[in-house]
Amino acid sequence: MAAVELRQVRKRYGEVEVVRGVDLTVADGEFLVLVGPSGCGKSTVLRMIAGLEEVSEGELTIAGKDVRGVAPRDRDIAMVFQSYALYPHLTVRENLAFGLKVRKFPKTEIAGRVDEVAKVLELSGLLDRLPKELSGGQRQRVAMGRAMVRRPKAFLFDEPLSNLDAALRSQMRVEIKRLHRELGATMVYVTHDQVEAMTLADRIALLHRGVLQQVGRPDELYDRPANTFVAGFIGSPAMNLLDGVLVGEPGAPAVRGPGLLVPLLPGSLPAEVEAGRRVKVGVRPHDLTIADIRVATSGDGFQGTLEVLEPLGWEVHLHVRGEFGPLVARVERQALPTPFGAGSPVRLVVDPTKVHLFDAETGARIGGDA
Amino acid sequence: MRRVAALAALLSGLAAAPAAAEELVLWHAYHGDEAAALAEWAAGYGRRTPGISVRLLEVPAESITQKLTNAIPRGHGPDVFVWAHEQLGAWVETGLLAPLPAEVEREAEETQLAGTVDPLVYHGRLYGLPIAFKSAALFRNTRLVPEAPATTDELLAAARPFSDPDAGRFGLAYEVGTVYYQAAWLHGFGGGVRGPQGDLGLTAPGNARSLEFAARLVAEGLVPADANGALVTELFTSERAPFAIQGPWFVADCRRAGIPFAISPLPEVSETGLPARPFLTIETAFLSAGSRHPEAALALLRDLAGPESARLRALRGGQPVSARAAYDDPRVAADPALAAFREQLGRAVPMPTEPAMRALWEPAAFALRSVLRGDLDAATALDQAERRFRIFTRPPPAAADPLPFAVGVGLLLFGAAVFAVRRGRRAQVGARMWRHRRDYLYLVPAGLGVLLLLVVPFVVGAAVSLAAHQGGGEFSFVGLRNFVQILSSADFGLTEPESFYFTLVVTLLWTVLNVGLHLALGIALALLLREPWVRLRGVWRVLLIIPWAVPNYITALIWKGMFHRQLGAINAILGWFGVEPVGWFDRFSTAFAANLATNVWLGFPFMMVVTLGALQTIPKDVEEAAAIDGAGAWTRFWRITLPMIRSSLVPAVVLGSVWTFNMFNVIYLVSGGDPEGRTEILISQAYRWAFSRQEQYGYAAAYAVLIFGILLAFDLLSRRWTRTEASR
Ligand SMILES: Nc1ncnc2c1ncn2[C@@H]1O[C@H](COP(=O)(O)OP(=O)(O)OP(=O)(O)O)[C@@H](O)[C@H]1O
Ligand SMILES: [Mg+2]
Repeated sequence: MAAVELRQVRKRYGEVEVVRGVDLTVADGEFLVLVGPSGCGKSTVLRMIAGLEEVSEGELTIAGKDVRGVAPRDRDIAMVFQSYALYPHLTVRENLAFGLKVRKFPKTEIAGRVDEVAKVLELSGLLDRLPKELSGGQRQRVAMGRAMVRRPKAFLFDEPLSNLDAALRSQMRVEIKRLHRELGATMVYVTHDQVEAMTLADRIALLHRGVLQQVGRPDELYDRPANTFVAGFIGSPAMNLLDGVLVGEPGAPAVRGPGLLVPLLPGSLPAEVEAGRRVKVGVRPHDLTIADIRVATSGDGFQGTLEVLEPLGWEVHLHVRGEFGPLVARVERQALPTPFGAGSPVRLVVDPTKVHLFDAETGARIGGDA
Repeated sequence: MRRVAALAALLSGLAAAPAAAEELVLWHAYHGDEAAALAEWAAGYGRRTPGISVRLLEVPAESITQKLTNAIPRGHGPDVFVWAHEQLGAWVETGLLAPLPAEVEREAEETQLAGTVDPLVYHGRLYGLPIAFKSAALFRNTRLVPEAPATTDELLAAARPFSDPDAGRFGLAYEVGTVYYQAAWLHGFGGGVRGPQGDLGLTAPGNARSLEFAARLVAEGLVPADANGALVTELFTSERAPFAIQGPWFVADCRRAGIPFAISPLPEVSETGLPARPFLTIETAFLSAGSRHPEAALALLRDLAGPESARLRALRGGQPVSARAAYDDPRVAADPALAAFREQLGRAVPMPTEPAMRALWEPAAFALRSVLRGDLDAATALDQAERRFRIFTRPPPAAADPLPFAVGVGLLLFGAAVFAVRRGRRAQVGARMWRHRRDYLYLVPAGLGVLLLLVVPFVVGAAVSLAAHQGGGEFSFVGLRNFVQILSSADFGLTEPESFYFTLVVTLLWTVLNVGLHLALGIALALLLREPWVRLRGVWRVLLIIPWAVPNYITALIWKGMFHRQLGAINAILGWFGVEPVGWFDRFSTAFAANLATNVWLGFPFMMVVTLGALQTIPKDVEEAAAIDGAGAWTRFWRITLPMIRSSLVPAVVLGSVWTFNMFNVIYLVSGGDPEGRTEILISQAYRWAFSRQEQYGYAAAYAVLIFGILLAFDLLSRRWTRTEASR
């Protein structure tokens, strides 16, 4: 087992830089999930670790050893591809054994390891089939098994579950988690599915346009997103981000914007932040509650009309439009006033402790010890 | 109104035209000055002879005999044609020629030069009139050698000081490996191509000594070992050889080069005191048996052989014409070249006209070349050649009774039909076809095409394999005798090049090595082209496909030239490294290698293109997975890449094998079977039996059927192999 370390790693294809100075350390035995929107460079980072792409600039070590210029087969890592990349002309057994065979392992050891892995992955009955005779899930397990038999220093996964249906995907998620626990191996896992990221990761590294946005435990990314991008990416439905201006005394700060007035926790802002600054207010949909429209209060909260109501069982998603733009709220069905429907005026309020503030220009988090 | 009148006039003019003149068609193979002279004569003849117009048609020399044999029996041949006289026997036998009346023969005897009419008499009748004659003679550079040598000793003595093979200089340039030129020495040593009884053969005494004489010329470095026409021209016109033996066609080359030269008859052979007598070819005007205007055609023929035409052809075309009267013209008499060839005519031997002569060239050439190379002594070589000639020319086997055979085939076909019908009924083929009758209707044109272009020729070919050609297009049924003779190797020892098994082994070796190299090179280049560091990929790909895009006979001729001992690029390159010039076609191994190199050059692009296509179908990540799994480039290729493209390559390999197995062009054009036919493959051997060994079409067809059988078996085997492969 081994740590993987990237220091100021860059990757250029001709003129275009697709990975732009990534610093990342994956600790020994850690499960790190690399997440980000499509095209952000996740696969490229992973392939550089595997040795399938050259590092244009920066340092890359595995187990403390500089691996730039080291062939993939000499890095002692295993990789599971999104397409599985099974050898179509070899049986499952031969697929599993291939890596050991070319490394000249003794026959008995190969057989032993293959059987063991097959048992763990429930492939024992399928060993003499060709890949084309397997279901998607079975193929996926063969791909996993092929990585496992080798007992490498580190496992690399590139969206290994994206070709499976939802049920199988959640089942395999559990499998992989269990595997990680049992093997205790270093794993780098690429996905663009935040559910996978949240459930699997010890730590998440969020990549956007080739730049790391935030690295941390899943709850850290969720509770204290470092910037508007992370805030918008993690959580579903996504966090509402609305424009406003800081107003009020330092003792009673608030954000005012078109159709919105959000009081903030006194003393929650750093001293250098002054009134009049343009900000983005971030509120997660489930932190919003419906205020009784008939009760006239100070007028704080978000004022708008209901456009769409999406019932989802015991909760509903409200799509509200106000002068601030669109807004999504997630509330209990019981909390809805009656009568209530499209076109109804609605006012939503939020607990000041649940408000996230970001700089309007840079998108960086303000306060909340980010 | 005026327009209508004009139109009427035009129409009546058109209608009148065919009636106004009888058109006579004349085929010839002349070009350049000779063709121009002929055209001038033809135009003049049309003016002088009311009611007659002459249309000339220039037919390529390579195909004129073929075209004549096809066209005349079908009634669309020429009325008159001009060609060398040696085909005469075969043409009389196949009924292409009309004999000339006795008075024309008498007239020809009087008006034509002595020795030009007799060769045109076949079985007592005259077929055609001489118009010119050709033979080899001695060309001499008068600056280097002022006096013409009278004997071979004088010739060799004069030539010797100029010989320096290492510097590319020779005392005498002529095509020493060609029987046509050797004929002069054969006759000069008292031999020839007729035996003591006057029948064709190589047993005449003196022949062996003449071969030894030629071998000595080569061994002493006086004569270049494998000279072709181009080398002879090159050596003589660049004054690197003081003497050349060549025919009248060479005069123009010498004049163009502007060297001082003179022509004299070939010298007397010092050992025997006999003159070296070259073969004589009479250019003959023949009267077609298919002419619709025999009277007019005969008149045309006589005018063409007459003095007026002869003068024109001598002056404008530079032809050594045969009409005596032409030489009364002072300008004709003043031409020293014409005078020299006329003198040589007095000591030339007319080329035999019997059809069997065509089967003599190949064995004689084998004998000559093996003696020149020092492989065999002259007597043994001639014995072998005589034996081959006897086998090639023996009478076809007696006709067999086709009845038992027909019954057998009939029963077989009947059985097959019954089987097919029963199978078909069980599967309700008829009903299903009826239901889809419209679909089948669409297939009719293609089906007809296949039937006419593939099935019919195939059946005809297969039928011919059961027959023997009796000459003149007559066939007799001989059953399986051709096959028995071929497969039992009755006439030839197993290790003789004409034996079926020897040729089969060569063919298999040829196919396996070629396809193996095509594959290896094609795959290697395709893999290379895929590498990310390769720049200008598109350019490379196009460049590498070029050998395939060039017609293969052109490539074959180019390679043939590159392998030439004196002029070839390959020996020149080897020479930089101090390698002695290699006679590529002197030994089996080198001749085979030359063929192989040519065909590998022709064949690898196909495999490369197929491989490039197959590689596209391999997902990149499978190979990447193997790289991570620990396979190096070599292992990855053998264990992953190759197995994955194999199924796409198998059809290409099958196809490539079939093409190579039957790659006639390369064999025929590069090595031509040299040495001694040992590099022939089955298809080129079949060609020889059909076209240079007495038209043994039945025998050749049997070869073709055997080739078909072998390839069919190969295809079925490869299918079975891929099927088991796919089902695993
Ligand atoms: N060989 C290449 N040449 C040029 N650009 C490339 C190459 N490979 C990838 N890219 C670019 O690099 C960027 C990152 O690609 P990468 O495959 O790492 O994205 P990703 O984050 O894995 O996306 P996805 O989630 O869709 O798989 C993309 O914009 C892509 O277009
Ligand atoms: Mg990707």
